[in-house]
Amino acid sequence: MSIASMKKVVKRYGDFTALDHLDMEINEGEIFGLLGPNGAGKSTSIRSLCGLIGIDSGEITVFGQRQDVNNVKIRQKMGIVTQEITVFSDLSAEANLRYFGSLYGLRGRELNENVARVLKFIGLTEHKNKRPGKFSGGMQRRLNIGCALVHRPKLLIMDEPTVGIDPQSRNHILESVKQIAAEGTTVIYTTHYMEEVQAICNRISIMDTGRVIADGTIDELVGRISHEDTIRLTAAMPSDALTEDIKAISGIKNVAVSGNEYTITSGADSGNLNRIMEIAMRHGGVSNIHSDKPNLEDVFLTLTGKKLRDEE
Amino acid sequence: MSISIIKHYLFRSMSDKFGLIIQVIAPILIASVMTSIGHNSAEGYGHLVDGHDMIATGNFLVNMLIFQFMSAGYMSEYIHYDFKSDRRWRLLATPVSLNKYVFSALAACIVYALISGFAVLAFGYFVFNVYMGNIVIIVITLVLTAIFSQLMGMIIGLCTKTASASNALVQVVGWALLIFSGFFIGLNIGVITDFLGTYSPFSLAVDAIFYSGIFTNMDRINDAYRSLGILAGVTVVTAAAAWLVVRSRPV
Repeated sequence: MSIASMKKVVKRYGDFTALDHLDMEINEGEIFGLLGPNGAGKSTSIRSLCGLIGIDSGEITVFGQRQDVNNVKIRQKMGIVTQEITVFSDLSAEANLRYFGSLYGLRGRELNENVARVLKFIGLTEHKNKRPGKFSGGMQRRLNIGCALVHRPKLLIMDEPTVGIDPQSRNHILESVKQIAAEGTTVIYTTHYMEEVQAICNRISIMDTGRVIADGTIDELVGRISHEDTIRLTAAMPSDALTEDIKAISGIKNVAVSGNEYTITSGADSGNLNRIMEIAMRHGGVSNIHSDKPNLEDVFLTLTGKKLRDEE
Repeated sequence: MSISIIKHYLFRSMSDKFGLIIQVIAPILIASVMTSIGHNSAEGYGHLVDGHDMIATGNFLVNMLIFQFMSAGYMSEYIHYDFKSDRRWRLLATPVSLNKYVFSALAACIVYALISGFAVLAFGYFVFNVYMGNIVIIVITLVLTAIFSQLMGMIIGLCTKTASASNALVQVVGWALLIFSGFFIGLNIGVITDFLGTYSPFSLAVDAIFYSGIFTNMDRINDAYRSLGILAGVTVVTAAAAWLVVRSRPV
């Protein structure tokens, strides 16, 4: 059953079209991944879905109601985790949770119980009296998430909640998201980290330039390019000439270059690995070359001709 | 307005130690020092009227008003920190309407300004035996200056791009209001300064209190009411201006 949908949504900022006839449907109970590079329109989609910004045309429906900037009551059942840490640094962890709970109308015993539950869930019970300024990046992120959970939302929207944190905290957050979904909350999870989407999402939409360019389960998406191989090459002496020579090989569909790393999409079982090797040797040699099974990154590369994120 | 939002902003204001120093400790300290200096220079002339210290009375009332105008920084800072930063998306995503949120924050800042003003007065009253005169007029004046200052802070916060620019502008406007009131320095340089000397919010507030029987006989009470009425009018005009700015520059 659909819990939220966006139909032919257009959002412009001056001459720039942030959302270009965007279509999206989120079903109850799923972890829906919204994957795309920086600037793809993920945050604009989220803000439109939450009714935080108006749209120029199209229709957004949440919980069966038409969403717009004046529909304040609908936000009662929604929780949002922003990309940025938005907790109050001058309040303790517990006071932050209490305040956000109160904004959603929680009072008295219900508020106390929910705050205690969330503190335990995000692992900050022992630190409840400390201010977020004294927390690590991962702890601040967890508190940021906790503030969106304290009112038990039916729909939780997480906009790149793991930006800039260590792998351990990231894993903790990903496990938490799975647990939240298991308890019945629908989750929309935006990220440009393919591994996160692969780890937790039931269904995925891939966005680029304000549009959904593909959607489905991971298997469905990868199945679209299973007739292709991804060859990764580290060239000793990268050059435009090398790129052009590789592109000229029959069956090569795409070549993406980042520094001395080449990501090449070729027809499956075309024998191009050896041909690429030979050409690269003529252009100064190869440090490393291997062929992979396609993954979501390759799906994105095949669909857009560019990498999902810049090297970090 | 929402009680929980008002409580939230009150708590944040009160837990700001630097703000507490500026808003409460500084006026008390300045008024106390100026009173001591006044006592020394007034030696032999007497400064007690019916047992009340009139030098302290002037110093505490004037400093209480000066720092009311400077408290505009609270609202302007909250506009920047909460409504002009990434945090605004988080706050907008709650089921509280933006108007309700902003006006609750404004109410909290007004209450905090009032509390700090009363704290300065209470110190003066209990430590220096400051004469309160017509307490109703003092309270109304304090309420009006607190509302005016926070509305001014709101306008400045909405019209500036950064928190530091906003703070600087609050200081400039605050000091300009004080200096052009001509209360501290005689500025006989034309019609504008004459006008501001009578009708600037600071001048009106001082006149309302001083004419209410503190430094004058009760025969000037009508002048106090007149100043209070004009101050109320200025506050209403500022509120209308703030409303227009909110509408034209939505956060």
